[in-house]
Amino acid sequence: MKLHRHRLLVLLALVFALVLATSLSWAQQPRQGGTLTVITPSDISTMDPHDGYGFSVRVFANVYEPLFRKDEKGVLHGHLVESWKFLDATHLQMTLRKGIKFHSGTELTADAVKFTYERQLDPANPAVDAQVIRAVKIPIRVVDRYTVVFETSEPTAAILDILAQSLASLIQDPGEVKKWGKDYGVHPSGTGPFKFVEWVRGQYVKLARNPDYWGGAPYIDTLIFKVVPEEGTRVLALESGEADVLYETPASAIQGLRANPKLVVSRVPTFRDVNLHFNASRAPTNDVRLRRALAQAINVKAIVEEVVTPDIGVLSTGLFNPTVFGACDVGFPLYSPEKAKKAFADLGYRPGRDGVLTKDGQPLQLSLVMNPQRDPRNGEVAEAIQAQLRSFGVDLKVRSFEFATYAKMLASAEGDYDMIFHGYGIGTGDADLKAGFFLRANMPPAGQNSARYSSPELDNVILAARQEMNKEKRKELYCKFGQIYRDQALGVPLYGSFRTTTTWKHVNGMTLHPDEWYSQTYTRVWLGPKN
Amino acid sequence: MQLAQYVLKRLGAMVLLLLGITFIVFCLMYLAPGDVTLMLVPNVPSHEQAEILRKQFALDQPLLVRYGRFLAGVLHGDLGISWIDRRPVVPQVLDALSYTLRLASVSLLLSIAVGLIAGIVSAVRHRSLVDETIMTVCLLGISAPVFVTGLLLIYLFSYRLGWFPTSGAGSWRHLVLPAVTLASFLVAYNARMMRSCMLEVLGQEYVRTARAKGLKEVVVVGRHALRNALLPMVTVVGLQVGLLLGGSVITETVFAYPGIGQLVVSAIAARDTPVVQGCVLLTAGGFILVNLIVDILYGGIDPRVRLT
Repeated sequence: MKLHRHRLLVLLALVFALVLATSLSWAQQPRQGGTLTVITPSDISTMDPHDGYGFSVRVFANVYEPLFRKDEKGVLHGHLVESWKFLDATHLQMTLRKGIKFHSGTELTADAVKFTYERQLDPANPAVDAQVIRAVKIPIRVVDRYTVVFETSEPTAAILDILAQSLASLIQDPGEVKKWGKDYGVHPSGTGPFKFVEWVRGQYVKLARNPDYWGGAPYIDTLIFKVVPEEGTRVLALESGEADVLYETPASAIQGLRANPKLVVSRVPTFRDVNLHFNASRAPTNDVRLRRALAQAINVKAIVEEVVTPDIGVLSTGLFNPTVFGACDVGFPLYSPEKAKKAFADLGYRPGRDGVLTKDGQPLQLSLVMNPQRDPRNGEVAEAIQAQLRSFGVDLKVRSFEFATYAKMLASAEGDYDMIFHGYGIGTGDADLKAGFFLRANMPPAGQNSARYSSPELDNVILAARQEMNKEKRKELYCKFGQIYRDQALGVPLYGSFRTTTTWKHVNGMTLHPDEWYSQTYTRVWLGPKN
Repeated sequence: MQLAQYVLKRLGAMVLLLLGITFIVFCLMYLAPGDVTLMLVPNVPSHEQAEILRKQFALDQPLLVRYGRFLAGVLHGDLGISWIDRRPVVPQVLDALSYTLRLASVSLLLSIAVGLIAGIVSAVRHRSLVDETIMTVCLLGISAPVFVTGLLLIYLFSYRLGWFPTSGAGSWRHLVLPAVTLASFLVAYNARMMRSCMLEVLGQEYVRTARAKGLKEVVVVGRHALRNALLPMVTVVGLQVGLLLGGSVITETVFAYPGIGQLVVSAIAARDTPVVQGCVLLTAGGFILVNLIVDILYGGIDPRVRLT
């Protein structure tokens, strides 16, 4: 009897295991079909990469393609390009994959590459993102139907990263651009996995599966980017099942969404980081000793752990997010309350009325300029810095502006601030794009040198790194750059940003890319049964 | 004849008013800190590229020259192109306006119907439990911020019950929640207004006379009192139409409803002056027109009012 029962149990277990195995394998089999809806906080402005702006870029990534692409691990691959070689330090020869077709049916040839780059770099009407690809010289030389040679104005180590990760490098269909003229923005044609269907202003952009996609047709039939400007509504739109992907989860909603068993909440590293820069071009922060004292007075670790929280950022030890090529630990944070106190005293500051440090009758009053929406919790971080500095007797005024004003202040010739928040996502994933801000040539109003500091030594390091083709030597140069930044106390790196993407459990095959703009495609995504 | 003259005079004043409004908005956009060119080259802003854009948008021209060009465009029915997406302003604004009109008319009808009935009932059953209940609900309606009402409705009817979509536009189902949200405020306002007007009228001597004649209460309230109590309501509702025409920024944002309120706010944030001007011109024009219509209606309802 006993034996029988055992047998029955074993048999039942076997049957159960079999059912489980088949259902699992069935569940893991990618299925074709369905609609994937992705929530976006803001509408697109056009489907033309020449004029693309803001959130448009996320839609472009599925319709247009660049010559190279970086995968989610940061490894560079030829994309539309099959093979490439450097003829010399400034000449790059590329051969395209054959048989790739634009959505219009026209074949992708070297002429389209030439056309795109010359259109983007047209001096009379440059593309929005032309600055990123400015190293490429026009006219472009076409060698044969599938081969082009790019010449750069100087040896450019990051040229492949630039060709991979920029809005300006998305290849457009010459025939369609010419045919539609100004209306190309609503009649786009690229080589990507999805074709444009319609854009209902302020509501959604709809894309459809490109069955002839050269890289293998996508699984989903329809891809919708749905505009929902309000944070609370965005979260409810996901939870109600109206949308499948909430690309950027509002910080305040992360905890709540984690508790929902039907959702997957993923913390994704990005190329972005947030720094606090001092204004080195005017008193009193033009004194490196004061800048260093301030950097030592700010307890960044406490701010990142308590205010920013690990959901949003990881403490910076250098100038770049660890995901970026060129990231180097240069010993930040510098927090040291004793050293800071001593430094303020050595500079001649004495506690005056209300405990505010005073020198020659002048209280140490500084201003911090920031845009509260640019990065999550900016306002809270600013308040924390204000409180910490106050405990040393520094009177910090936080001046909060909306983006247009903030951007103007950052880039204005006057530079009316002592400190400024500067968050930046390095699209290319290569340090050069951000390091370049610190060049003398980028002193505002010409560029974005928000620390307003330049020196021949710094220029030399940045330019040498830009041209150095040896990766190891290049990394060393960026460490050198970080050391100068630290020794000159140009600012305080705060944190490397995370993005939190929330998806429904039935969304499979989604690779989450650190680059949130040019590379996030939905080609391999498939939808399992919804339950 | 008199009416035609009156309308013509008012239309003339409207042109002057619109000139003034657009000029003020033009100056405000000019004085506002920030710069559209910096919004457009966000990745690596460069001075030279910004200069090219400034030329394209004629931002290098003096203020008055730019305003003159804008006016010349208006005469041709051309409001220029948006600086952000480089497409014509007129269809964009008209599109947003049509969405706003749909939302405004539904919530207005809703608020008039419910508000008037609630107000009349409240007044007739003055100081009763019904009156107290209606007035308490109205107080809530007036006090609750629109985004709270909106999010609560989404939570309840979209997320919990799944009856209506959380956001967007297109079908009648998209319209229900934003319309109710907008109306919740207006209903409360209209009901309180209607109640106090009605109470005032019900105390008048001609109402007492009507009652003394032995008329039924329904006739007294419905015919004698209502018509007089409605007069101030016409003005109030007229103003509400004007307000709604400008779009409800918060309601539209909460429900991702692509109306004119959202359009103008995003355009201001991006310093997209042509779109801002287009929105202001059309909504201000609409507002003035509606007010004119209200004044004409007034004469129709109340023979004592003469339009001169």
